[in-house]
Amino acid sequence: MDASSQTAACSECGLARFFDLAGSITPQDAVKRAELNLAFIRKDVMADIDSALETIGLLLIRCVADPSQRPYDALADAANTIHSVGGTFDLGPLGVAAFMMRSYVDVLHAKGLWDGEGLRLYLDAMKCLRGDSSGPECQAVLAGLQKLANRNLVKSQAVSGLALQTANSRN
Amino acid sequence: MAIFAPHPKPPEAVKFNFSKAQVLLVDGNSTSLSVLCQILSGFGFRRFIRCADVSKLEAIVRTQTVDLILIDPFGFGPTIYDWVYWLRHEQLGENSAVPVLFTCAHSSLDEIRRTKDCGADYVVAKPFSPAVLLERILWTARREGRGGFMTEHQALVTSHGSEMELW
Repeated sequence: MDASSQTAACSECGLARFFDLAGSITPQDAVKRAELNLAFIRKDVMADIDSALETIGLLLIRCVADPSQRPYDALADAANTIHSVGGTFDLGPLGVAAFMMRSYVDVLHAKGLWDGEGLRLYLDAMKCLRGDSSGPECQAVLAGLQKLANRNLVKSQAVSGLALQTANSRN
Repeated sequence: MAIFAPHPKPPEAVKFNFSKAQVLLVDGNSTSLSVLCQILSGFGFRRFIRCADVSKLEAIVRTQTVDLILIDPFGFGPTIYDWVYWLRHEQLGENSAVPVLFTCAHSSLDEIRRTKDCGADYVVAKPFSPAVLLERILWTARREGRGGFMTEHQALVTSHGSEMELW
């Protein structure tokens, strides 16, 4: 098959063959229907978001009780849930905070570090934003979380480096 | 120097009936999957194959006709990219050319490049609105062959819903 025939074939395969069929709807109607569907499941999604926040809280409590625990994946998973859907349900700042937390967890994981206190602050901020994601203070909260991540990562690296130096000097 | 994909123009005066189309949804997060299904149902899709196990994908596309694939790669590792690459090169007829859209809540530059290299058509950042997702689906369906260009890293997937067209 030459290139032009292949191109023509591609343009008619897959989804394009469902255009202009009987019973077709416009993009405007499709979007309206989708938004109605989302309104229908809003309550369930909010419950899932709250459950994810609770999960993060429990994980961090367990880490305090057992400092050897570092549940990076579970935290990332819970934060991902919140971030994936928060913005779709008018909780944009909460979703952004969850994105920042997940990014922070990824960096800690990659560097083999832990910052329970910092992660706790993320959780507390997310709980506040869950209650009210519409006020102008939200941007200040998000900016503060970003500064927190930058500062705590530097501090964690310094502490980690000091511990390594101490261990090496004893050896 | 940054290269930004122009915002694709939505198809003009298009109408569609996706009730017979089959969509393969690959996403390990049940909340996200639920939201996606509700959005797609609003668009008229009725036939969904939900899969959270990459090892089962090959059997699905070998035995069923798929008209659209939406993938969130979170949690699947590199195997999901390998599978899309395999899909594009395996000579499965129409299934090999099916539109593949990645929906990502969080992606590194490396992951974006892997998405491009494996043969996906588009990356849509989560959280997305129904309007944005539909626009991408319709644009991907109407494109003639695969075309486009990659954005610079700064314009890549963020938490604010940017997206990029892949070549």
